[in-house]
Amino acid sequence: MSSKNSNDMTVDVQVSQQLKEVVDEITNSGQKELNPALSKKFKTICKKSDVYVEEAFHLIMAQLEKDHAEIRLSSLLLVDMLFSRSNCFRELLLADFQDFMPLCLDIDHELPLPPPKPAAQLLQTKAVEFLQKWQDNYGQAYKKLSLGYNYLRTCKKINFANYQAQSLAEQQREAEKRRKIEAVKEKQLEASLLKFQDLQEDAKSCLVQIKSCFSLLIPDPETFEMPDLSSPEVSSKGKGGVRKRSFKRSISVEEEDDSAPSDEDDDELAVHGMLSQKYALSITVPDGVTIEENDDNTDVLATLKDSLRLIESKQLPSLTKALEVFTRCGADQKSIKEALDLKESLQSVRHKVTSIQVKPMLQERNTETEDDDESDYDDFEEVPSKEGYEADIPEFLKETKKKKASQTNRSENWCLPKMALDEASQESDPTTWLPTIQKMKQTLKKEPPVRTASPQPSTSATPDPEREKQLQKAPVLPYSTDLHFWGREDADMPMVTRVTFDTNNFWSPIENDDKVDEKALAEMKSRVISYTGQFEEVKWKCRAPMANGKLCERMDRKKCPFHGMIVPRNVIGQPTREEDIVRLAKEEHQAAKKKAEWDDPELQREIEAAKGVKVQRSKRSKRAKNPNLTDISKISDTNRNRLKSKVFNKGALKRVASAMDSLDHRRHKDKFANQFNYAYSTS
Amino acid sequence: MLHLLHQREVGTDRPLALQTAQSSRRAYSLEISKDFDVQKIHTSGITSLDVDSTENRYLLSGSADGIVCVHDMENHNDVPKAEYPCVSTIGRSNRYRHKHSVETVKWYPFDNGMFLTSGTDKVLKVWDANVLKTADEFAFSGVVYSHDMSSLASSRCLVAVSTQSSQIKLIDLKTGSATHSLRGHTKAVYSVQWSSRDEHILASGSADSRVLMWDVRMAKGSLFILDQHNGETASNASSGINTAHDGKVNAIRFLPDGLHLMTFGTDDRLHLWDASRGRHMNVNYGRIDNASRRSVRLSSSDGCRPPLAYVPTDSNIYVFDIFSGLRTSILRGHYTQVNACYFHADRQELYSGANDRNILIWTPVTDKAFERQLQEKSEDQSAKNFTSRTAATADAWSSDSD
Repeated sequence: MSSKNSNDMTVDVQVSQQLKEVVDEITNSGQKELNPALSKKFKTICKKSDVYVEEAFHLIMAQLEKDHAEIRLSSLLLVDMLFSRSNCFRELLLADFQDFMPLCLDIDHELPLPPPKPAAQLLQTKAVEFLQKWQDNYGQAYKKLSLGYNYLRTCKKINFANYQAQSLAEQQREAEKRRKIEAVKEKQLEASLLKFQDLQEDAKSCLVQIKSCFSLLIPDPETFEMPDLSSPEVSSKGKGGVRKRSFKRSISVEEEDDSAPSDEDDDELAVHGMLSQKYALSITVPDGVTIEENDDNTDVLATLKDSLRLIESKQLPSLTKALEVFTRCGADQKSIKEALDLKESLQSVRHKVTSIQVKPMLQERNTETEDDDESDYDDFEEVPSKEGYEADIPEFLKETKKKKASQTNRSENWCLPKMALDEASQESDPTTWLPTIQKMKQTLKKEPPVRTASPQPSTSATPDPEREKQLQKAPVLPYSTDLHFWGREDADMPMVTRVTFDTNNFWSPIENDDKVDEKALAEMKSRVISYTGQFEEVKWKCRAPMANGKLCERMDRKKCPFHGMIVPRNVIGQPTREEDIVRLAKEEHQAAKKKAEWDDPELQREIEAAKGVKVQRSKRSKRAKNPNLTDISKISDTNRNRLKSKVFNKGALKRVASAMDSLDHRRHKDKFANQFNYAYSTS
Repeated sequence: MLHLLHQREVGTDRPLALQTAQSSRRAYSLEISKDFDVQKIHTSGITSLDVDSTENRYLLSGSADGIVCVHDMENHNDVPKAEYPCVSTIGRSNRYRHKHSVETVKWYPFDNGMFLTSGTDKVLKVWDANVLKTADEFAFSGVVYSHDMSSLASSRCLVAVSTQSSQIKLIDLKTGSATHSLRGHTKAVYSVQWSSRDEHILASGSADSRVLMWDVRMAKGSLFILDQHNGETASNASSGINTAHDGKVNAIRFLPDGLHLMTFGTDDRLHLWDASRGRHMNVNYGRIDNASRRSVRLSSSDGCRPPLAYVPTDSNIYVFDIFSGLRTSILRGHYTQVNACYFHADRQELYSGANDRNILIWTPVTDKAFERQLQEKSEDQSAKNFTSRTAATADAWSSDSD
């Protein structure tokens, strides 16, 4: 034991306090190297006695455990400084060496080094460097040190000679990550393989169906009884109005034309009615196959269309998706090939089907539509007529309507039915405009118009002087709805008719509970006056100084919602007028007072004591305390973390869970509501 | 020591007194050996250690990857710094080796030509130590956590085997078959040991937190069940089961005199029992971390007074005064979980094995013989080590004056 240890074993509280401060200052400096002045101070304190060394050891270990790589780095530098100087420190550190190592080396994959990353990396390299140095210097004397060194080298695979950044733990972590991804991929692959198998069956059956459809629609040339290729039919007419010309055959015809005619040919030609070879036979081959739709093949065509839709909407997209998954997750060649083959065959079939031109059955369609219209019209007739109105509809009118309907559907250039009817018959028809006008004319005849705002007393001939005067004063206004309803309490109120949508309940009683539309009534009695003054554009800004040093840019007419009345201000935003200055100062003072009242800590404490609720705002002192350190919370503000906080938010989770629960519940209710044991089960 | 020697010469003290005093002094002052090492063979954690009781010379060690080694602990040449060589290894190339982790290794108590190993591959193997071949194998239905042979029963060759199943199997090596199965536990049995006093008495600790004492002559069941409360508290009345611990019992150890039993459980407690009556001695050792999921080998000193217990806990080994419960020291040297320790009674040395693949030797520091020897030779060329070591342990403060 050293001599100074025995000198003073007593701890000077002041010195130990000083030591604590120094350690704190050094470790919170955030520097990559030790501050020479501070470290000198630290050394002098530790040099005094082993008591202080022990204290320093505990302080440093406490700092080393903090989750900040910069703090740990500075602490490690302090450790190194003391380790190379004090035997006492060495013994203390080596006793806890197994705890010390994972704090500055990335050897425990469940205990990674804290952020920020560059500092953590530097910490690791420094730690390795120091360990090597310590081992070289003290390995012989301290067994545990050499054991630890060997442990790191053999068990944790730390290469001291050429230290790499990627340690074993890091590799382990990465391997774990990779394994996870692999597992996910495998699962995807399995699922898509299963899906693909289903799809394959579906697609195959679909293909078979299409094939059989084709064979029904377009007869195979081989199924025909062909006399001979050398004696082709010029045009072959298939069954059921299907016409098909094979390209091959037409070529063979042309060849025949070119080739030198033999006797046999002549004979054969003669059979076909062509005695000479001077016929120029031109055959136009249509681009696609045209099929006429008829009663025989309409079902087949529908099936074809259905299967095409199935291929296009379902099978091809899911196949491409499956292929994507296969290529991404590395499926075996066989299934990829199968998928590709299937895709190709599907595409070719699709192409084949789309290349067929189907001539729709036009006439039949039209007759059908007409029939439909007829039935529609019949439906109209069944509707019970409105009371008192359509009591007498002439028969011919019905017919015109019918015609009109059919016309509109049948032809594109339809027109309104000509008014081939005489006026009299129309007047009795309430659906035309004529009777309405007639009725209005009659009412106008009966009573004098009440529409004018100032009803002219046409009966009095003598002008009233008082009235004349008043009239001169009275404003002249353009006629409007308010004048129309002027002083008319009995005016027909705007009614809101209650519409009942019970269409199937046509015998329901007619409820007469129409309401007065208050809004419309108000509109009727109000006058809209347009603004006649000149619009003045706001050209000024608030320009009150803000906290960020800028001037307020708001352009309000009179009052800024943030800074009060807009007053003239100078370049830096100070009010120029004397009274404004005084007023603003007063307001500011009052606001400050108010805030102080509310923010009074004593008051808050009292409230807290009374209510037991935390009122005081928590102070963010950590950041303010160590301004030298890198802010870790900022680093953790990655997009993943932000998303994580959103997705795994407690409220969100609860919401989603409750939604899922209710869905489940509903499904159960739908399925098993008729079973008593489920029907009465609680949600 | 000189005083004791003198008294022995005069005859006032019994000769045993000197031996006890000296061995106690040594056993109390264990520290990690700076000069001795065992040759590193294992590439995985050490799970079990044993030294043969005939010669007290060969250290048998089993590791978690199925390798078993024998180290010769005798230092024949006069070199103070030594690495104990490995004399035989059952390595990966041996076709008889264990497929998985070896959990227990034990020498045959009466001859070092045979040893038994068992492991998580559910097999107990009987080895011929000279040719390193299995003489016999016994397969079990579950993982074999531990096995033991009585060092007293020289006429019989019963091996008690504790496995994952709740039964304890007794195997007679003479007939090569299982003779008994002891039923009583309800869960896996982690540890069995024969009494060091009575050849028929067996103790077992299990995951059902009970410790049972058996007399193998008795057919009907266990002799008694150890109760940590000695039947005094009512807290266990509801369960109706007497438990020795509140967690799994994964270590059990008779003291060399066979009168006492130590048990260690995952409730982080060490208990001392009167082995003959099954009473809890109520010695408080405090809380000792025990997170191990395999059988842990405790060790106790032999021939010193008061006796000491060496208890592996996490990466350290605690040394307890058994009867007072005081912790006398902490042995620090391992870096991960210590699985086994073995106290060499003749040399007062402790061997320990841990998951960090090290077998460490703990030697008494009172033993200054080597130091002295080194000092004598300090003029020689071999003194380099010593001087550098003393230099290394010195403080090195810079001599600046402020």
